[in-house]
Amino acid sequence: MMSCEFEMNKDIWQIIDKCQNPQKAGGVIGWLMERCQSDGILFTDYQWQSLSNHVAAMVDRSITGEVLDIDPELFTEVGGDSLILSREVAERIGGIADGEIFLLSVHFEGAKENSK
Amino acid sequence: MSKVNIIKNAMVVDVTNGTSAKRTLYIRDGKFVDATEETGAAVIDVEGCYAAPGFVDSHVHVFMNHAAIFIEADTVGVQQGVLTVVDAGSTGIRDFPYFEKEVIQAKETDVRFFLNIARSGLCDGQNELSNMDDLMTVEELLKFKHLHGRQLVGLKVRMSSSVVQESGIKPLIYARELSEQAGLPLMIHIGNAPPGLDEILNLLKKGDIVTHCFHGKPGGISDYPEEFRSAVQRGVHFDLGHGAASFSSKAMLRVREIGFVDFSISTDLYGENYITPVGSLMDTMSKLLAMGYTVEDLTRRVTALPRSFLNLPAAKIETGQPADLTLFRIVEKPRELVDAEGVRIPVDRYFYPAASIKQGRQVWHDEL
Repeated sequence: MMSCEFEMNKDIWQIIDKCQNPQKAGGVIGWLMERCQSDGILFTDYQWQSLSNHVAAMVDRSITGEVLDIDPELFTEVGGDSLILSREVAERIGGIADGEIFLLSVHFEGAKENSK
Repeated sequence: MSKVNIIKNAMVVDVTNGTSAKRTLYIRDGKFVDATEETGAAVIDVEGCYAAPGFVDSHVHVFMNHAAIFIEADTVGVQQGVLTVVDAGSTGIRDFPYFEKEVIQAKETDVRFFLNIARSGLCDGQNELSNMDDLMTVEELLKFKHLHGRQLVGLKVRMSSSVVQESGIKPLIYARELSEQAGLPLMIHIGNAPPGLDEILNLLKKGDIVTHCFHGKPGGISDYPEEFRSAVQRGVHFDLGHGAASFSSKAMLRVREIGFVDFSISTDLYGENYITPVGSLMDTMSKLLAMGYTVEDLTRRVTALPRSFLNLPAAKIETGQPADLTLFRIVEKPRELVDAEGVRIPVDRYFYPAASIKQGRQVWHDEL
């Protein structure tokens, strides 16, 4: 099912609770829900869950300092809007490497495909 | 001395330790007593039910047929396993005689109240703070408290733009003065600005209660992290106050991010939000159960915590204490609930009322 009416289901709460900083992960996910709803970005339930998982993992990596080895060259197709939103998420979390911003933007690109 | 009543197989919730254990409860003359072997006792077996001190809903509107918004007190009180409801400012000093006669004295539910600082309360509409001349004087309040203070728990001030209109922050500054003079805490409703929440929070003191703390309107708590943390540190209390438009699960996530607050759970129930989105105090608790809060912690947020916020005596399930109990079940069945923004909250188990026991007397029960 595709919707911009997000569901606060058990999966999302489990993702938040399993994070090393659940308050931070929850706050960023809550903020993203508001933001995507007002921007009219539509997610399937699966896409939303996978985005939430990624956000929680980023919060974890911001704590452990782990950096993913990502080649920005692979993301030249990604639209400016998705990168801006992605960067905003990274700024809210703090301590996120640039490559991760590209990786996160793929979620928003995927959601944009739904609306077409 | 009357016969003892026995409640057996109750999962008794200990809200202090966050645990539950199966116990047999003995009640005589409206109080818990020690275990006894006497014959002829009336025994009810409540296998499968939890037992907790009587639930408290610290924000409802129950001034039926007088206020602009209302619901019948027992419908959201004892008939939903809630022994005490607190009316949040439906009445001011002008209409209180009706409130006393038709609500406090007429209902099985223990009805407490926050007195609206506007003389007319919510009985002449919902912009009660728009004219400063309509607010009660210190003398009027002191006289009222002396004569009718028994069920009074504080003063209600609804600080949102539609209520205060051109008065802005002035009603709150005035309410602060009333509060100091009468020694009563304030319950502040927050909603749409102006006035801004920073201005509101900075005027609050230890013991005041902010209700609708997780509303999702612009200018909510998460937009004022410094003022929020400072208020929490000063001992200002926070309350959920679900209502038609004041519980956003997204806003709750964002508030949790900026700082810890031990909030109580209340409904802001009245006719228009009763069926949906609020449902009941137990439905509201069930939404948080789905979010990972435990049965025991949620029970604490409708018993010990609001009692301390409202300066009510602590309620304990122990010998010598009044036998006031809420019995409830945790029903293991999927159900879909919503928050006040229509965000779906699917639950796979939920709180369901089983019985209300007041001083040892079963005043309402589902099927036991």
